[in-house]
Amino acid sequence: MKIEEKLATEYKYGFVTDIESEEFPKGLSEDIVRLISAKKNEPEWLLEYRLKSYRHWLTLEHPEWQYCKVPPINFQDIYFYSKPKSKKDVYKSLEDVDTELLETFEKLGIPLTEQKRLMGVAVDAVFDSVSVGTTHKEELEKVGVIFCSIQEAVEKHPELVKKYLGTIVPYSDNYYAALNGAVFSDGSFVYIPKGVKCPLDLSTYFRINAKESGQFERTLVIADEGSHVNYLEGCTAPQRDENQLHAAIVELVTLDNAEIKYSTVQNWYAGDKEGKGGIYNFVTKRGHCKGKNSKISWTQVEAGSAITWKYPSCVLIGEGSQGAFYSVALTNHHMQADTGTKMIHIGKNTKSTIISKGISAEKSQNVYRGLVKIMPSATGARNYSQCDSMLIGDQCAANTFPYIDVKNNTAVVEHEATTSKISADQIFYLQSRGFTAEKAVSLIVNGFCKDVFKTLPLEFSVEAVKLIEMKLENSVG
Amino acid sequence: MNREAMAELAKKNIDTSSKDLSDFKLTHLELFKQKGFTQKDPEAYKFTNIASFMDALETSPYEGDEIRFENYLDQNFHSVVFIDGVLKSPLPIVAGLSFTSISDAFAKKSFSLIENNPLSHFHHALLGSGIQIEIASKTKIEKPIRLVNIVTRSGITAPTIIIKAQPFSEASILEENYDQAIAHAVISESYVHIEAGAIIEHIQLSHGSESALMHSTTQAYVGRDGKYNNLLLNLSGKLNRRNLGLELLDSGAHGESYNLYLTNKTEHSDISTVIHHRAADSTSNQIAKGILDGDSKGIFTGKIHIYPQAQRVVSGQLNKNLLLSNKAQAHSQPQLEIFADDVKCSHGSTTGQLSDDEVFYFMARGIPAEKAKILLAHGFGLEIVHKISNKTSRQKVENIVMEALKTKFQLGASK
Repeated sequence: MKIEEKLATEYKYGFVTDIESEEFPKGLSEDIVRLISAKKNEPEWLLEYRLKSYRHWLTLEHPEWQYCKVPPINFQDIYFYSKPKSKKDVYKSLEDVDTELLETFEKLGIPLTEQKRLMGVAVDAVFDSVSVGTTHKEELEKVGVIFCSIQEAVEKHPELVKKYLGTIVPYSDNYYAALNGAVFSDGSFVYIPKGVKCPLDLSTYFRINAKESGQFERTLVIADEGSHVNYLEGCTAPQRDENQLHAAIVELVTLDNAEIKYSTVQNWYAGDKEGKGGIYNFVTKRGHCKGKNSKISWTQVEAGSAITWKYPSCVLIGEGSQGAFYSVALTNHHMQADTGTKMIHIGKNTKSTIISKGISAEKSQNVYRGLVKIMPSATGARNYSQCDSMLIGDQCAANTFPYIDVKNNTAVVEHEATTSKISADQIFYLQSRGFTAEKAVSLIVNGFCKDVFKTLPLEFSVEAVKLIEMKLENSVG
Repeated sequence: MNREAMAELAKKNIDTSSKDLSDFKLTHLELFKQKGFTQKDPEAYKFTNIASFMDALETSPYEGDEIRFENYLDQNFHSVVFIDGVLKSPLPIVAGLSFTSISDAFAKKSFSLIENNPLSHFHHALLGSGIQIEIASKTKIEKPIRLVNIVTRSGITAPTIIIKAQPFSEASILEENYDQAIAHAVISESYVHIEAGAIIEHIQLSHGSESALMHSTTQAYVGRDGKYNNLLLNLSGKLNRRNLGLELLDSGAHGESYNLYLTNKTEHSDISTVIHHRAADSTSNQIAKGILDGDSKGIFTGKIHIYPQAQRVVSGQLNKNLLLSNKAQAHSQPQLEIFADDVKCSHGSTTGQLSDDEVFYFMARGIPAEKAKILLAHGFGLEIVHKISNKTSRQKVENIVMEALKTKFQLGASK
């Protein structure tokens, strides 16, 4: 059975918005860091933070331990700040936003204008280095939820930003965290006050548009005692021959009895069939379950990027806190992914669940790397991990590297992993019932990913299924 | 004993009776001096700092009675006894079984060594003790072969064991290490070549005293339809670092790796295995179990690498750790690297304490909790021993492991 190249699906979001942009000179230096800070009218303490990060970054070397080949990146050849040109320096409201931009987001399926807004979802749209608009602000303000860009949060709620920024992912954490600390641009800021269950799902949509630029956003979500929020994140970029860097930081904090559900559907441009171009997605995502019985869950569908290299993690500090990680990582063409999670159990009776599904097709490489660490203080900790891989084609690779460190004898830690291919029997069964081979594969793959998809919010779940189907169209053999 | 002292020791050991051998040793001595304990893969020795273990090794003279090899013979085995790395017992005379000294085998160029760990160069610089065993084709050695190494002098011994199994031969080999309660290090390397259709069972038992360091590396090559069953058992010792490299070279090659580590007090056990599936239709199975008490540490790293041409491979791995104290640490790193699509691979890892449900089950049947815990822990450990297919070897090892389980852990005593 060989159904190669039956359809030529192209990357749907590969278009470029023809909009003039305002860029700082290429490269990175203390001056650029100061310029970015000045552009955003930042207070002195934030500039200091950026400079400390930058100086620390200069002392670091690019890490080598990862299981993906990262071609040397010339940091002097990247625009670290790019903003669509507009009459206004800051978008005060959606009326200030240029029509080209609004059209771009509409084309991406993210309507921002009043009459076309998605029901029940508030969106913060980030275009290159700036946030162009946040919807449903008034509705959220009524219940005290703050949802805005980081820049706005620095202006309006400096005490909150100052209290939490960089406490979850310090700039000294890793190479790209230090880089982000120095040059971070817009991202979303969310604060859910005590006892509030956020009435809408919050969502940020990231778009890289400018050529030779990088996106370095920063997201901070704080869930105060007893609050609850669903947060969604989506991303796309135009189709270009050169690689672009995306190095973001996401920090989550939950206090007593609070819960954050963070879902990502990542569909950055992944490069063409020969592996040319695509986004390098090097992101540090981490959540601290600070309060008792607090919960953080990460759900990710990783279907894009030339290289994905990230480990959304949970540090379970509060007694009885829970962390979860659900992931589907699909790679095809020449894509590389080294992704997984870290669950650090510190508090008593903490629980974590890891379910990871990796699918590799064609010449791609898919790695699950995960750490489960039970500290001596984590009495009664419980972890369950399952990571399954599926291989489609004989030139791809699937690797699993779990690290399990247990320092408390009352902990129960379980890990399971399997690797297999879609069996001919399964395909034959479906074919004999009238499915085409391609449809059969897509059905089986979706079934394989079911455990993860069912944890996604409805809109995302539908999108994820379609995305996987679309990605697999050419690779069935 | 620091690096300089080790180099000095190796230098003293080089004699000039054979130029080839002394040249080989000098080359590696120089390399050791230059490179020290450096290691290609920084993660391979993440939990075990060889340099600090070697530095802490103190030497003291042995003042006990003279050890007689006769005490270590066992009529159920073809025994070969080494004392401080020197062959003492007469070699068994068995049809189809031949022994060659390492220096003679080196002169005949009948083996090649590889450098894949931080002590390789040092071991090669000390090359000389040990033995080469060859099993003639289509021969089955009924009695198991037993290699005993007893250390009476403090210092370092570096044995080399070469096992050559000619086509369709079969044998069970048991390696045992003992010492007279003195500080010392055994840095051993074993090479096992299994030709088509040959079956080798290889049990490597480390039973050192409180201050004993053991660093062993076993490299096995399995040919078409060959079978290799390796058991690494760390029963005691200050440090037990065991490496196993298993190369499944041709179709039908089958490898098994079973590990048991029992640690208490401040003991440190680190087992690292790599199974390379280089050919289609090769299969492997692996189980590693640890019982950890006191302040001890148990590390298991098991990598399974499946090459692109190795289709239809079936490979399974399981690591289970039983923690008996709240200070013991278990680190488990199962790793799968898969480059072929038509394979079935799985690994599992669990860490925990004895389950209350299981203890309750016994209690409901009239067995007191203390007794139940002992039975459960013994059952947990003995599963590995029961993987030994040769009956004589299995009985012997079972007695030794049972004894270790009984004396090592105060199971049942309430903590």
